[in-house]
Amino acid sequence: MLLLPSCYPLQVIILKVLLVYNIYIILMNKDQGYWKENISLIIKCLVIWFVVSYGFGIILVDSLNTIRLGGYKLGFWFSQQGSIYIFVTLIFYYAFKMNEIDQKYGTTKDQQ
Amino acid sequence: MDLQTLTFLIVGATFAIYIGIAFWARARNTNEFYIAGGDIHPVANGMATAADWMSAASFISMAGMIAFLGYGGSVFLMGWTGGYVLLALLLAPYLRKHGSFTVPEFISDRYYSKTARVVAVVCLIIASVTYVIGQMKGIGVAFSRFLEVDYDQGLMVGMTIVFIYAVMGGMKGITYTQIAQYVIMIIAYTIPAIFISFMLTGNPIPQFGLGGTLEDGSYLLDKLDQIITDLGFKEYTTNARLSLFNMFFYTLSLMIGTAGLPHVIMRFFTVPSVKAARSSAGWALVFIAILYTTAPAVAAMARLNLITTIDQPEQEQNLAYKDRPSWFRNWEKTG
Repeated sequence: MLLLPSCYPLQVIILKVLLVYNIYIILMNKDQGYWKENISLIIKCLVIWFVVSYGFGIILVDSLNTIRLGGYKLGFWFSQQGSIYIFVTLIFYYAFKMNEIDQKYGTTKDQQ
Repeated sequence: MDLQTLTFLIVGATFAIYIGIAFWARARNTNEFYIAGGDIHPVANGMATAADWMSAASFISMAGMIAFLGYGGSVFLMGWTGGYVLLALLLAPYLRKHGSFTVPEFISDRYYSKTARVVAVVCLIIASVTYVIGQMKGIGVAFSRFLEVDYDQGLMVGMTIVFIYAVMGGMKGITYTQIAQYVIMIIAYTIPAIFISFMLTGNPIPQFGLGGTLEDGSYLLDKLDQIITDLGFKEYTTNARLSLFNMFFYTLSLMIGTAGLPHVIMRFFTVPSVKAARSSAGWALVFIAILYTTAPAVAAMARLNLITTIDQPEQEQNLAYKDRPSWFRNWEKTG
């Protein structure tokens, strides 16, 4: 307490420290939030990617083959048709969502 | 006009188009030579990526492989397309963000190391050479069949043509040549597929035709299963050939390999922004998927057609060797 300059009342100093700390937190959260959202989006997409190809197309193929999709056995359909359609959808979904995240955190400008 | 002249005309015309485009869009500076000036539209880049990547393996051999392997052939379908998901989510946007010309350049900047750069160059050369060996085999087969010359001579002719337009056009010329190649390739691939699907199932879209019914009302795939099991083969739609474990890791290695192909990664440096790199990967897979969802239909239908042509249960014996269509013998020679 004694070390503080007398022209600065205690509350002003505390306020200033808090302000700087707040800005720091906001910036950090902003940055981390971007990566957090990006990574959780990637994980979400990769789970679907894994389930439709390795899950439905390979591991569970025999049990899915008991279900029919027109002339297709469902497991066979996933391995030779369905997984590919879902891959395409996944990439566009990721691109769409990432653009939203970019806009939310204002990172679009510095990429150009 | 006989078939041979017609083939010469059509193939000659396509190569004239490629070389013409390469000349028209030839690279005028370093930027254009390496990254096509960095302003390729994402859809155009997707199309070029698709042509770049759908090589001899996809175009010439994949449908045959699936016809032969049945369900087991799915490892190639899922493996070669699933890799694009990894590429689009984990690699392409970040490499584009960095804004370099090549992958080794990125590696050396990211890890502050010349050694890492050399290692990347060595890996890249190994991956590319291995890949090119496969492609050259394809070029040799295609050209020797079409020019009716030896495999070696066919290979040389093909190589020379590719060399001319690649060196002259740089990345910019290649981009536009590849777009033209994609259009020609997809037309050449889908027209027979549409016809065979229409003839067998009455549905012109092969993806639906594969799940459709034949003239006698039975499902195409069921009929195929039944015919080939009668002949002593394993069921087409369930025959995995590999164990579950092997299939899993086979697919995984194909996916990771696809995501890491140098010539594909390279293409994402040519789009204007990170945003464009993301959607471009999607467009690439759209254009690839058109061929990759048609291939299993071609495979199953061709197998059914081939077997019903040769196997004639009503007669005493199968179609005699001398009565078989002439293309059987032509292809026997090429291998």
